[in-house]
Amino acid sequence: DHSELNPNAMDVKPGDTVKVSRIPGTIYLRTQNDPDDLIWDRLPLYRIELMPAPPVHTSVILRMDPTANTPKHLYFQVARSDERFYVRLRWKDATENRATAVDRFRDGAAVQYALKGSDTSLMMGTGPDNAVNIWYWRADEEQAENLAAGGFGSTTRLTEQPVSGASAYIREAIAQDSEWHVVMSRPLKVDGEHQVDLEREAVPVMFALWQGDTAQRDGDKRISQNWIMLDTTTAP
Amino acid sequence: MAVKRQLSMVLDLNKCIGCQTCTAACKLMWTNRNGREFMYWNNVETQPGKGYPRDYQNMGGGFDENGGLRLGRQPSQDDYGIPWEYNYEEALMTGTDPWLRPNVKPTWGANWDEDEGLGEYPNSYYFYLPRLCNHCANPACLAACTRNAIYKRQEDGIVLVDQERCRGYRYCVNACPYKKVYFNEQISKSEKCIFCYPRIEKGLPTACAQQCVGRIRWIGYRDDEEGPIHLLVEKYKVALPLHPEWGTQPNVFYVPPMSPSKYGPNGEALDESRIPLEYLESLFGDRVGEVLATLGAERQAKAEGRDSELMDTLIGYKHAEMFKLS
Amino acid sequence: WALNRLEPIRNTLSSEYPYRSWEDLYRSEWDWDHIGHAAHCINCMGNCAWDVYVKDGLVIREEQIAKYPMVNPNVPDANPRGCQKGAVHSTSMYEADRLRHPLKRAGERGEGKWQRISWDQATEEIADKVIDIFEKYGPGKLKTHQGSGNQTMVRQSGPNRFASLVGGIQLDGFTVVGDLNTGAHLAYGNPLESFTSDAWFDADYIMLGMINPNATRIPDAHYIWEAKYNGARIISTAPDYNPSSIHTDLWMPIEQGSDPFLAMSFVNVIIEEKLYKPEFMKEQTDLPMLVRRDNGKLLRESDLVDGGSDEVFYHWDLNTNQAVMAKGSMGSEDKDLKLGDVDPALEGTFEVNGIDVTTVFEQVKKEAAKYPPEKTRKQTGLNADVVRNEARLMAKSRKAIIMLGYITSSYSNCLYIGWGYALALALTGHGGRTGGLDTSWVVWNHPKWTELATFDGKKSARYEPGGLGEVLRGDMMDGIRRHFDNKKLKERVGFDVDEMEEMMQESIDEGWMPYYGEIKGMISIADNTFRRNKLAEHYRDEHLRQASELYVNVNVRMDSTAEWADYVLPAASHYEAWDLRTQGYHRFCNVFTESVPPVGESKPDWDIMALLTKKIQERAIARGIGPIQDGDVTRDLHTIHDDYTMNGKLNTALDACRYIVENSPEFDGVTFEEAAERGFIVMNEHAGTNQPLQKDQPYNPFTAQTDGKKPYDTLTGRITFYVDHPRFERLKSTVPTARLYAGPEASKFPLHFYSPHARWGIHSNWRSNKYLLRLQRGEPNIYINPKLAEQRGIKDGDRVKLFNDNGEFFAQAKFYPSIPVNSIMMEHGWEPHQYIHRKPMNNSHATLLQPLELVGGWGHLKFIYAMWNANQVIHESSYDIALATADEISDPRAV
Ligand SMILES: Nc1nc2c(c(=O)[nH]1)N[C@@H](/C(S)=C(/S)[C@@H](O)COP(=O)(O)OP(=O)(O)OC[C@H]1O[C@@H](n3cnc4c(=O)[nH]c(N)nc43)[C@H](O)[C@@H]1O)C=N2
Ligand SMILES: Nc1nc2c(c(=O)[nH]1)N[C@@H](/C(S)=C(/S)[C@H](O)COP(=O)(O)OP(=O)(O)OC[C@H]1O[C@@H](n3cnc4c(=O)[nH]c(N)nc43)[C@H](O)[C@@H]1O)C=N2
Ligand code: HEM
Ligand code: SF4
Ligand code: SF4
Ligand code: SF4
Ligand code: SF4
Ligand code: F3S
Ligand SMILES: [Ca+2]
Ligand SMILES: [Ca+2]
Ligand SMILES: [Mo]
Repeated sequence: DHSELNPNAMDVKPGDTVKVSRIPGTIYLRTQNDPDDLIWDRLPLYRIELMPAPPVHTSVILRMDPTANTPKHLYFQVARSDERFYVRLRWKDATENRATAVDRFRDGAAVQYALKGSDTSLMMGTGPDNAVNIWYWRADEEQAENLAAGGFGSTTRLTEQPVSGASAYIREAIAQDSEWHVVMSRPLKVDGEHQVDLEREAVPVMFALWQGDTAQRDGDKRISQNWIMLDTTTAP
Repeated sequence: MAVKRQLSMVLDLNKCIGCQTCTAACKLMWTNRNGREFMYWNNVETQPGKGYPRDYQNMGGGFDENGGLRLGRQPSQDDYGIPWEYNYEEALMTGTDPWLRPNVKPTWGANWDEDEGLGEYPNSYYFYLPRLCNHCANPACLAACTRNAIYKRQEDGIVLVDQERCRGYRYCVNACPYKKVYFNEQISKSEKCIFCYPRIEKGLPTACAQQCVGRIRWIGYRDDEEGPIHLLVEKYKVALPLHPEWGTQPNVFYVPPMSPSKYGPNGEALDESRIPLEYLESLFGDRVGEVLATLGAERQAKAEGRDSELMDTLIGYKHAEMFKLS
Repeated sequence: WALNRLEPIRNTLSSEYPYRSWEDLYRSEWDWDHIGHAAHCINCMGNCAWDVYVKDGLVIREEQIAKYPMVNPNVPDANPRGCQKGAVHSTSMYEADRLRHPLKRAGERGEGKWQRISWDQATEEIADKVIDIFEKYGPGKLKTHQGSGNQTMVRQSGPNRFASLVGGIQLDGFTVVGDLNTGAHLAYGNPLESFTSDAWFDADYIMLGMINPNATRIPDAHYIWEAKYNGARIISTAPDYNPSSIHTDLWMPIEQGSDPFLAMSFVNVIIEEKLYKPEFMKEQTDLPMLVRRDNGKLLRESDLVDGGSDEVFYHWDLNTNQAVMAKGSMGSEDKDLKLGDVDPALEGTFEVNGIDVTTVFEQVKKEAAKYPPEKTRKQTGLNADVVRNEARLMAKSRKAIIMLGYITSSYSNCLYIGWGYALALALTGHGGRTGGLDTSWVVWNHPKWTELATFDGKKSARYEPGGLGEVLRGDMMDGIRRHFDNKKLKERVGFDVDEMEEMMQESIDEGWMPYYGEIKGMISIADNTFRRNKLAEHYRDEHLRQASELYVNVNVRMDSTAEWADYVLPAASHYEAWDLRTQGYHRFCNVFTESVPPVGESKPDWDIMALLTKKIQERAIARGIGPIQDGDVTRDLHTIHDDYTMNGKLNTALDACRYIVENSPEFDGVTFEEAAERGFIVMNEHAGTNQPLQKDQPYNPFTAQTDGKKPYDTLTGRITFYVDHPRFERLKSTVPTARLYAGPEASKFPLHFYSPHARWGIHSNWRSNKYLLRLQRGEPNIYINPKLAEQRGIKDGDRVKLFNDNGEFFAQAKFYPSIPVNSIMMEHGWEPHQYIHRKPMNNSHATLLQPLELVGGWGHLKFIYAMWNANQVIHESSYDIALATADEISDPRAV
């Protein structure tokens, strides 16, 4: 998919480490999660390939599109200020699927963090003791859900919901060029269990996308291929 | 049986009058609110017909011969029917609207093809088919949920969607070949017939059965040899599951309908029922003919003044005794 | 729970599910504070006991009480009586069309503009207008008709008591809607003596003659299908394969309006094949009565003895070979049917005092001979072998019931249908325990209700024949004339429009039927008269013109009749007022408790009339109005409130309810508190009007006659098959015979049309309930055979236009392969305001009256409320159909 390849972005391969950028304290953000704030033009942009998640359930197998084996590109930026941690995501999507209705599914994107190390299962964790924390943005709500899981099938909404998000759908004349811009952020310090510690030096992270137009939901999605390590050690 | 005990319902289609009191009972009990307005956990449809949701019998789901889940399609809101609202105030109290009418043009509803059926006058035919969740022994809905939010209660076999666990994936909605799980847009979770467990737990029958004025419904446990279910399903074998070939092993059973005789070209009464047997077999399996013969023979016994345990049960002398909940 | 939920669960099918605490969610949705009781007061024949669940002062749902005791262990119990409409009433009572406050019109009549006023203002202004009408025009100019919406004792008594006190016009409750089985009255002298539905169960033959019980007798229908399992043969006759036909053994696709021909064919086969039972005929019927061969009159005592009675008749006794006086007639001292030593001849010709006589049976045979099934096939469309076979099966059955629903009286040949089937039944000995005609009504004995409603008979309302009163006051003759082709009409129904009009006038002139003429004011209670009447718009204009001084409507909701009122008074609905109801097919009196206070400022009907009388009394005194002479009685407006309330004893619905319960022998001494607690009362033997209601037996009609040998309330004291009234002679109907209905052949329009009762409403009640509409097509619809639709380019769901020379209406087309190709069906009861442009079907329906139903002066054939007078018939008109154009059906504001 040629149109997706932005030459200004840095390709990230599974297992790579990327730096978390620093948003200077003096910078004033118009709104907390403005998906098109000027600041994002100034921070490094990474690109990663997403492939269909391995189907672990018949319900997903039945719906797998065997021809959908070309990678899909997700652009991401990660940054922190003194108080908050930000992720910005961009991807091409010809359809703006905002509704969750009887026969309609929403677009979605998520970031999954291993609470412990990168030996945590990619498949959303390895039981309650080796869980993941997931920030889940869904196009039907301007709110990102804060989830945890101890393996697929156990996704759980956490009592604390400190993650916020915002999105913009940039519609282009040619539908395939249209793009989602999504920002999710969270204070660095939060209460409650199963929340990723973002002040660790290295934070294992994965990405996922759901195409509402083809009724993707839950395990039926595209994901990045392995943990990427976030290096948070930028000098303060 | 997968569960310790299994509740079950038998419905006699020869007694169903299509009154929809059951539908109304369930509606006011559970689904007239909270985003459930379009849902009919209990519906009554005319067959042959497209039913509710529209054309559900061709939407797939259930299991294949090897026990594998089959892909099912998601009904659209139109397939269910939009719960219209009306301009009562404007048309009737303020004199502003020209007449009372629905706010959307009705194109389909839960009982849209009422009394339609098939066939040509005077040999047309139809009957009523009330449907609720079958609380299957092998529920496709349960099998389809990727997060196991659907379970079968061990004490009574009632199949429930855990309203805390469900995240609205709708695989269950697709997988149930009877389309008896419904997605609630207001809460983004799916809901379904709960076999009125709050009532069952208090020793009362479900609202749809208790309120059925046709007195067509029996409730009991499958393993209760003294109960009505055993008698109708196992002993006399007159109650059959709907679409057994869908593989979910329903625990709701139907006594298939007899029908008046068909007419020949000269208006002569033929020795042939007007509902084609093949059609009934396509719904209830190949034992239909046998069941209709049993019903005929037992009815004849009554007509001749002989006893019939089967007929006495189907008559259901005491409404309260149609339910055996212990 | 959040934490342990991070553990993926595996097997939810066959192991205990770990997270079940959420189940409280649904448990908590099933909750209430208290439970009241009620049935519904409208004209449904159901009368079912419900529990009414109240939470935080609001009714949230209802459920049948379902605790009626078993009457007899061999008969299924009556639980759980109810229907889907009753099951959603708790939504209707709060809908936006519910009347909550007294309203005064703020624009032209019918414009839909309202001003909310106080009860005090409303009743004062109405009271003054009522007094004005009395002052200006005298008594008799006020129509106070209470319609079918109040079928309960207290609700019905209030307005009726008011009518009794003011002498208001009240039309016959049966014929005004077209529900009187006149053939049954003619035959048995009582059309309201019928089976309780549990008495259907032991029948071995049931013919659904003209009824669709699966839709119109919802709470009772189960007895029919249980009877089927009990060994009974069930058949149905109807033009369409209707929702009841589907469960029968045989459905006879009869041509619309040809039923008397089928009945007469049954009679023909029974007689030709000698399937009749002479014993029953001799004792229970007038078939052995002697008829003069010279003038066709019954042989009367007055023919033989100077000063002899003209209500005493004769048998020819085969034992003594002479004419003997028959006991039990209206003129006979001896009120007994026992034949004793007499063996009356059924056949033969004899001579009595030089007069040539024969028997009624001979006359009947002569007429019946004209109707072999092979010949009536032309009218009925039914195969002769099928008819023959059925007649035989009916004849040899042990207990045969022929059910004639009220649709029978929707046809101009109603009288012939009931009469013909009564004959078929009587010939084959079906009466009392062995069956008979089911006329869709059982009337119970309630002296206290009658006392309250009729002011103890001391003052009377102006009772009027329903059909006659509506046709004349509604000025329908022009519309009738416009629709029917006189010549063809006469061929089909036996009279033409001119003759009909002449005979209507004759009935008034002869004093056979009362008619009170034009009105000046109208207080309409529980009556959707502007929806119901035929040639509806003209009927309405005419009433509004006459009632120029005052039009008050007492109602629970803004129906199509309330919409045109000067004042609308809001009545309490089913769950909001104390009441009692026994009307129905069973022995249970259901108790209405006030489950919640009346919604808004509405009040029970009883209390509304009490308030109104209070104001009239106050204003009459203030204006110095004393007693007003009205024939034999005085209209005492200055004491009307004291009279209404029994001097303050019965101020409220609760008072009246308690009064009835505590003073009615049929209620078996139950205390008011017990009754209210249980929600129903089981009536005892005193409830039977014709014979005791036995404690452990279903109620079969006329056992007092078949077992007890009590005479029937007919001229001859017997089931009547001979009427020598001049009009019966004129219309060649002295014995049961057959006529057709009008239909397309008597008009310029090609399609048959009938409008039976909807499963989805009780007339207009609940027609606009949104929960019920969502289970229909959401808007008025017609039923059409797909073949006709194809010919006319109509698809299912299209909007179509139905039209004839009296008007047009629009509706959605619904395919129904079970209806004949040349017929259209549409359920009745849609409100005019639900139709596109508010053009209802009734605008284009022309009615007819059956002149035979207007005779008087002949024994039991005289004006008797709810027993004998003329129906406004319904299904005689015909139509054509076309696809509606977009222009025709667009919203007028869109242009
Ligand atoms: N749910 C509900 N219940 C109610 C009512 C309601 O409005 N809704 N109304 C009441 C009242 S007051 C009445 S009058 C009803 O009983 C009328 O019911 P019924 O079954 O007699 O007549 P209907 O007019 O429905 O017609 C019955 C069937 O008669 C067939 N039919 C129509 N024309 C003919 C004919 O010419 N000959 C013969 N043999 N049959 C004919 C037709 O199948 C119709 O459905 C009582 N219960
Ligand atoms: N084309 C065609 N025409 C036909 C028929 C047909 O088959 N076809 N059938 C007939 C027959 S058989 C009947 S019984 C009539 O439809 C009955 O009409 P009606 O206007 O009396 O009843 P309805 O039930 O509509 O109206 C009763 C009103 O009472 C109101 N109401 C109900 N409850 C109460 C109450 O408690 N208090 C007061 N004050 N009012 C109450 C109600 O709003 C309704 O409008 C007649 N015409
Ligand atoms: C091989 C990798 C993965 C597999 C097999 C997998 C499988 C599943 C399955 C079966 C579910 C549904 C059951 C449940 O709700 O727990 C699910 C839900 C979910 N997964 Fe994954 N997953 C994978 C990777 C990921 C990744 C990398 C992310 C995020 C970056 C993610 C985010 C989510 C979210 C947010 C949900 C809930 C979706 C919703 O409620 O609509 N998953 N996944
Ligand atoms: S009927 Fe459908 S919803 Fe009910 S248990 Fe079976 S598969 Fe599940
Ligand atoms: S069992 Fe209860 S929840 Fe299920 S359909 Fe019947 S009334 Fe509704
Ligand atoms: S209440 Fe009973 S008789 Fe009526 S439609 Fe439902 S199942 Fe059939
Ligand atoms: S409306 Fe009539 S038939 Fe229906 S439940 Fe109420 S009382 Fe019974
Ligand atoms: S598939 Fe599962 S998540 Fe809910 S919508 Fe169905 S139970
Ligand atoms: Ca999309
Ligand atoms: Ca009628
Ligand atoms: Mo009626």
